[in-house]
Amino acid sequence: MRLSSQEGARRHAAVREFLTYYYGLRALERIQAECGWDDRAFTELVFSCGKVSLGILRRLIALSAAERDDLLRRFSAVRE
Amino acid sequence: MTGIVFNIMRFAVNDGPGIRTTVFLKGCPLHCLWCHNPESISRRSELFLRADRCIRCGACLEACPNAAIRREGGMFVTDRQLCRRCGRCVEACWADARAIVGREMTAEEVLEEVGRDTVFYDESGGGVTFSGGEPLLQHEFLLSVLRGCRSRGIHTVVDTSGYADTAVLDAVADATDLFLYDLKLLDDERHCRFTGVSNRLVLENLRALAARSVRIIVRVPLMPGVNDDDENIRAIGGLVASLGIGEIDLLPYHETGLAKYERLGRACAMREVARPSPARLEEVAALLRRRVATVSVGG
Repeated sequence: MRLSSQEGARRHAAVREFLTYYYGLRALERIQAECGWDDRAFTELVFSCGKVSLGILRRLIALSAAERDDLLRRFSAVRE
Repeated sequence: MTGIVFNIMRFAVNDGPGIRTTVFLKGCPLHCLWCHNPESISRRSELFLRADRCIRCGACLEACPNAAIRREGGMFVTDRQLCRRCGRCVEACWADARAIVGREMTAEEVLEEVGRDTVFYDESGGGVTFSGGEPLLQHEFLLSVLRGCRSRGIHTVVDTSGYADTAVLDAVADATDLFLYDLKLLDDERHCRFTGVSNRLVLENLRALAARSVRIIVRVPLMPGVNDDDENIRAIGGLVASLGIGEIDLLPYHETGLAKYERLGRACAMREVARPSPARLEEVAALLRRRVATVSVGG
């Protein structure tokens, strides 16, 4: 009983990881479709800003290129 | 009907059976020194600061209408006495370094949010868990959401310290499928010292709950040097067995809550405590298994 319960929790944790990845990817695809950026530019932006919410990602996309570059420099400075 | 919610966590797998959505209600009458959700204690909303995420852009300083933020040596410092928790700095922040913890939600809003994952509850035998804080502190709101879940066929769990009026617990029990009931220390003097309240009501309520036909899993948060001594563990095992409860979850202390104290600008009294060793955990589990049929480590 105890073992089956813990194995169930592990199985559910694996499902959760998959769902998080799946829904996260779908959300990013939606944002990319909205902004119309190409794959390369969008992927670079996603990896440049690191751990931010989807709301912030949308705000970054809405900025001018110069403003965005300035902020992304600050993001990378904090990570270093 | 509204309540103060500080988090809704989807796909939780340690708060009851299956895949669950856990609704964290704000406010707790206990002040456990090891609390890993310090943001849950106060009933009012609070400002959460993640200094490590700040990119020093100064957007918060410009946005604050209360002059609660100032620049100090290249950093942005928030005066919590001046902060009115209006959330303008949160909206302005570019790095998610700021958050307001705790928001007022209607029962319908919570039901709509938790209803999104019904397919996962059905597939996994999961449902919704109400945690905190102490969810019974907002019992009218809790009851409203519990009844809403029941009418939608969603399994419900209430994760409680048991520190509430017995009549409240009784009413909530009518609308709940499973209780996760915390037991920390059976010695009242030590319980007072480490949680700030007597355990008399907690034990009375556990007895009252066990007398009903509601399912209970007792949860024992295990803190080395606080409640992991053999005497306390034997006493807990004995009490749980005498009440006919067949399941205990051991929850080993972990340090992940420490960072939250810093984000809230508070000191943590348990900073020096380390998580229990695997060997000690197994010893404690073995002690409990002498009296209780199912003892699990983790939720």
